Amino acid sequence: MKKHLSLFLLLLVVFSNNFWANENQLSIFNKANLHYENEEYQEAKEIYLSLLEEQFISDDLHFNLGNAYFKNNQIANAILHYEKSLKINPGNKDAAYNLKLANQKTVDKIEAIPELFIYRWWKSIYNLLSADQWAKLSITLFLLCTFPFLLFLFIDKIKVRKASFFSACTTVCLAFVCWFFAFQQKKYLLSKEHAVILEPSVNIISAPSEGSSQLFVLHEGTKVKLLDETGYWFKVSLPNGNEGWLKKQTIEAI
Amino acid sequence: MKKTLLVILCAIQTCFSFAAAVSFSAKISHNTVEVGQRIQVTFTVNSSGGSFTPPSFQKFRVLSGPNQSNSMQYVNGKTSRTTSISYVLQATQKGSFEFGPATIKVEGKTYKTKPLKIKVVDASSTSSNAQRNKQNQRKSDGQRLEDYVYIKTTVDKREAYIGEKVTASFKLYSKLSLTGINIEALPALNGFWSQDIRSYDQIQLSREQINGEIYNVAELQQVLLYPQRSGELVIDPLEMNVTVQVKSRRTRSVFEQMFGSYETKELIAKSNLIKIKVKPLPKKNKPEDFSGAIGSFNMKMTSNKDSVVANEAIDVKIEISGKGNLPLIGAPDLNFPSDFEVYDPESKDNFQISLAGAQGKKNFNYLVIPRHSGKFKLDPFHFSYFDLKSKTYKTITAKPIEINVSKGEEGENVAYSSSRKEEVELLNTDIRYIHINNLMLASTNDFFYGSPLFYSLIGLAFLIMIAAYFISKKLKIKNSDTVGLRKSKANKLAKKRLAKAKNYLDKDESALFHEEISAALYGYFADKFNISIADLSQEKISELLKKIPNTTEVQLKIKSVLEEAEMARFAPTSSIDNVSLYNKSVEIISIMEDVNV
Repeated sequence: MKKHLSLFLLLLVVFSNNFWANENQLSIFNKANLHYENEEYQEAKEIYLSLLEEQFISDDLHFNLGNAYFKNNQIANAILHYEKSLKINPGNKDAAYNLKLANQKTVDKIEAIPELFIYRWWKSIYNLLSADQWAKLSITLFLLCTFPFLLFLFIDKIKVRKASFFSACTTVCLAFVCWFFAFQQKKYLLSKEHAVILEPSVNIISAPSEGSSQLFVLHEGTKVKLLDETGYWFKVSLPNGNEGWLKKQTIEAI
Repeated sequence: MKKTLLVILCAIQTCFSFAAAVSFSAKISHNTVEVGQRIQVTFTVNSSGGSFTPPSFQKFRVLSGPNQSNSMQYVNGKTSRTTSISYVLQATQKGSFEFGPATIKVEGKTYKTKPLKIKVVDASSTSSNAQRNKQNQRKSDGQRLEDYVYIKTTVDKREAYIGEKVTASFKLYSKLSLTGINIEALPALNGFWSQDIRSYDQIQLSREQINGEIYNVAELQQVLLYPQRSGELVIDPLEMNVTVQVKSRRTRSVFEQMFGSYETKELIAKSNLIKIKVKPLPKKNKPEDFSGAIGSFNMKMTSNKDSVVANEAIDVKIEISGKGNLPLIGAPDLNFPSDFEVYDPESKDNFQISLAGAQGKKNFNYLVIPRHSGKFKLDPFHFSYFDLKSKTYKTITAKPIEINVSKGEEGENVAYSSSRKEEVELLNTDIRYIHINNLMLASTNDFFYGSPLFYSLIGLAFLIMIAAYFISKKLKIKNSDTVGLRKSKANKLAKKRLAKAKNYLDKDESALFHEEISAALYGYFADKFNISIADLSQEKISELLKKIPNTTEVQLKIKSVLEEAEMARFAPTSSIDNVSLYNKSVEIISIMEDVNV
């Protein structure tokens, strides 16, 4: 039994080491932040981008990069990275706030068709935490639920047994729900459902070929939903229900 | 026969058609002209006219025309109308030219003239001798004329900043007496914002002495210019057609010989081209709100009221006074509280334009209506300008204005409060600062969810629960062995002992019977209450029984039986009915079996 425990602890240490970036990369991150503090937004931006190229995933990194873009007056890119930051951590309130500000600077004002309220509630609940946060919460609940379970098993008093039974059941249920949310969030994180337009003005056309009739024009910073793709083209839709095709290089997926 | 008839008919037909025909002809006054001479081209049509298209008079200058004249004749009861359209042209270039056909559309039919040919020759190449003489003289006149009559453009500076005033004046100098001037081409002034200080309709004549000679000077135009872009800007030449009186040398008569004769001559005078170097404004220390004001200014911001009732209009006035490019100063953007309804500002100019530039005041009136009550502070307005003297930017800040709005009548401000509050709230705010502390950088592949650690931790939780379940089960089995079994066996054991005691009773072995009876009873209670026999006493039993409700009757019975059994054991001589003792013991055990312990 003791042998197993030590093995497990070893695993834990190994994983947690792997989990967080090493000091070196954090110091690079801090260097970029220092550039930002000195209002050298261009330099800060480049370092953030180099960190992103190393396959790091961090809502803080995207948030700071978004700010650097914003200060550089590249609103479309700022929006893209705020959205990415929010995708990784939906609870990043600063990113949500800055995104709102950045969106006010965009050209297109699209009235969204309101979603069904149940869907909205559902989304707002599982968007409270990120995939990993949900996973950690789930683990905590699973571990917590062992206590009432033990009480239920070893205490003979009927009242204690009743209470512990119900609390164990609810914590297990909650743990499973959290697990499901974590699953949902990770699926969302890996999916590419939305994109932001990066070119100043993009023609949305009716079919994926040059010379198709033009439906409408979108401007940089507008968020679109990706529906379909063929070759060099994406089919996109807007919150107001309009759909059309545009060239792949004009947008970047969130 | 038939043929002749046809011919006659045809002839008649043509006769009629001739009578009704429209004739359209072109005439030219001279077929050969010299450069600079005038010709007249006339188109005549014998109807009241229709839509007329003239040919293009390329290479010729149209001096006047189209001039239309109509005439009507009534001869022998027949009316004839004639319309003539004429042009006066001036030859500008040597060569042979042809005016294309002019067309006219009369009653749906289109008529064309024959093309006109014209030859323009050099002034000197005329054939006639007399003409040559005249031309020679004219040529020499022309040479002299250029010297005698010219236009000069003067500017007050050749180098200026964008928006800095430059004045240009055009003057006509002439030694000869002028009889007429006509503008041919106005300078285009591309890249400048211009305003006439004085225009052509107020030409002033004066005399000036230049190099000892007296000139007649006509001040043609004075214009105030504000360069709008940097680089080299050009003030194009001004072209004028000038008519002068020249003393004629060739005399025609005695009178002329005596008094001298004058002839009028025309020439085209062109001013010099002027280049102005325009410098961009310095970028250093350029205020963000700088909007192009250059000069020296003063600014005041006032409001006509400082306390109003909601929905009452307030006039906020900005007065910019001073010297500089006042005409170019636009209405500044004022930041009013979002609860104010703001109308487009009204601007009033109150400045004079002179050679020294624009000077005076410019007022902007903002009509605002506060829609909600409260204390409002208008942001102090900053007005920035470029000071030409010190070559630096200067900013004037107006005093902030406080406006007290008291509550108006209810129900009036409903319509205005529904503006998009969310956006108003966020106006003019900066983004939130970057995250600096507790930064986390995770590799793309390192998700906690779905990692082995995640699954092993969940596994651990389940492992703990399963392990606990098995442990508790084991313990339960252990517990139920000692207590449960003893209890269930108590009755059986007691019955066995009682049967043994009955046996002794039947054999009349009294001592053994008593021993067995008390053993049966004590053993039964020991098993029933799960305590060892050594701890058991009569008092202990009654004590334990007291805890069980509704057993007072049984308690008494048990007590008496136990006492009897005890007595019989230790005092065998006593008269104790063994049979009743036995019956009582059986009864107690059967009662006790019904009692739940």
